[in-house]
Amino acid sequence: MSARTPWWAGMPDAAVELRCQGERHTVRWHAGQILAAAHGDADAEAALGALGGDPPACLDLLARWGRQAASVELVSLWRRPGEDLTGFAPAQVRPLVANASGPGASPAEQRRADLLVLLALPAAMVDRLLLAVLAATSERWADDAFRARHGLRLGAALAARAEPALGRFACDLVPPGHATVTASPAPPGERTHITARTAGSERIRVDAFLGLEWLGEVWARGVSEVEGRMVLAVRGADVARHALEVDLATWREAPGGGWACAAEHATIERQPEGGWRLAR
Amino acid sequence: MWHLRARQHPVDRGQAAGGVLGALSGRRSGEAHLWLLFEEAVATARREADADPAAWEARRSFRAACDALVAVGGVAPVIADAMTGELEDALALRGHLAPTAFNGRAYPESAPPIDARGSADAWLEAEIVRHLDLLVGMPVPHRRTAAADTIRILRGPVRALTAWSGAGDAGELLRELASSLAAAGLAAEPTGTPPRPAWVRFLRLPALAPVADASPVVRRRLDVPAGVLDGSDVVVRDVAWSADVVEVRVARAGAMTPTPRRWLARVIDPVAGLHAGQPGAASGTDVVFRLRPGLQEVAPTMAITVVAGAEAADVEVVL
Repeated sequence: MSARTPWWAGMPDAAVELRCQGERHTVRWHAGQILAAAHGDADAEAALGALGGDPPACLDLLARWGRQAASVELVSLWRRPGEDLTGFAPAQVRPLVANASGPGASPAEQRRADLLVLLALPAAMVDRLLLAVLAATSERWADDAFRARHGLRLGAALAARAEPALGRFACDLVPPGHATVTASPAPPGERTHITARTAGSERIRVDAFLGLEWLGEVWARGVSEVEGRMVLAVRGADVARHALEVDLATWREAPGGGWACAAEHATIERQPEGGWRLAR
Repeated sequence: MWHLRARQHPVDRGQAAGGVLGALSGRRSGEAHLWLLFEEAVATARREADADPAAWEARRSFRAACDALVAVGGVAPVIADAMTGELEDALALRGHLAPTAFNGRAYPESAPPIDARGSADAWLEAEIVRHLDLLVGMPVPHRRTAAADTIRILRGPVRALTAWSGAGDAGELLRELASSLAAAGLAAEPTGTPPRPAWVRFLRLPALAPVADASPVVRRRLDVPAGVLDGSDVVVRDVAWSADVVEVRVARAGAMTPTPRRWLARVIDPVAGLHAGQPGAASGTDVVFRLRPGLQEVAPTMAITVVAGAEAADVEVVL
């Protein structure tokens, strides 16, 4: 996301209902924040809860969310495009976390319990959690130690998620199956850079260096391709219109031979049925 | 469904030079390959009614690649363990494993230096012989199907080793196996690589019974050094045989059981050819391997190979 637009802009709200203190409460994700509306002063309640007794379920969820909102492992674990049935059922995880939370739990037990609870939320909520993780990941990409620990994971994740779209983008130049496509994260501070060159008489080779933020800005929002056009970046959001300002990929002949990808500005609009289309 | 090839990663393409992923270098290409394989496995293991076999195959294949890379020092055991655990978490999340199997472990902050010893060929050849032994334990009519499974199973480690080493050598042994299976009538498609006569002859044996109850009747004391495995001097104490079994007893200087890594042994003699078996029993400093087929007559020499991970110790003895 560009500097002027926060990572959560344009994302619809998501919510989960919980049984909390004998009532039905709603925990809502809104504009990058997770909120327990039924608890006016969540911090004060949490502090009181820490003095003894079980914390309210809403605040317990907020605490778990906060602890895991930078867990890079979720990028590898959570669902891929077209996967509708990923996640645990709440009833499955309840007995597994009953004795694995609270002050007596080890950090590993606490973490496992956190993830079990979070991965049993409605998929739309976990999608938002993943967005937060990806935003944190992009921020930390310049950190050498972070890249040393998670660079290979994120490189493979980016490749697996971007290469299908890149392969179809390459079909603007050659017939399907005639392109060898590779995608890697761009080095910290460098811009997205995609080139293509001939590789044999009928084949081309496409090398793409995508900014890591592509995962959160584009892929996680489900806008990798809109009407057959690959989206390179999201530049802004118009929440009222349910629209995003984006850069679409287009090929230009490169001066030294081959092709280079250029960005073409466009607006895309969310459709009532959930898809996206180019604004006319 | 898309497919990732083993060598797509920038590390494997030699394109990471000082750049894209900062701290990366060739020594982490094994881990890079496993992450690509992880993505491939998760893409395969969707929660669909008919996806269980594919998920199990992906899990098995991932473990095999981990085993191969750990054996040759291509990836640190702590990293392989963490990634295997994460794949199980992903499978649990998709209903292929019970939620109780969910680990939720954090990825290691760092891994100790990799203890790289031996060669990929030593590990792969031992693995091939282990599969040959499994094949000849089957009734002959079932071997053709099992042979196809063997090639499929070994293809994963071969791909991992190829991606890790950056060389094409790992596939040569697999092609030799495929040709040997074809020469033994167990596969339809020979490759351009010649078959290995000892393997072909072994594959043509009738179904061999387990050797648990067989006792050798002739024993020859040897006490010959064979090399170093797992940091221990290895001595072949003796060989013994009967019509059903060939037994090799190996001592590790100063080492006590259990063996730190899985040890395998094979024997080739000029009369009966290859003798192979599963990992042997260990007691004290000795490991005993019970191999088949047995010997009907005494062989003038034996070439004995003991393998631990990717390290091999060889010795040829005159009987």
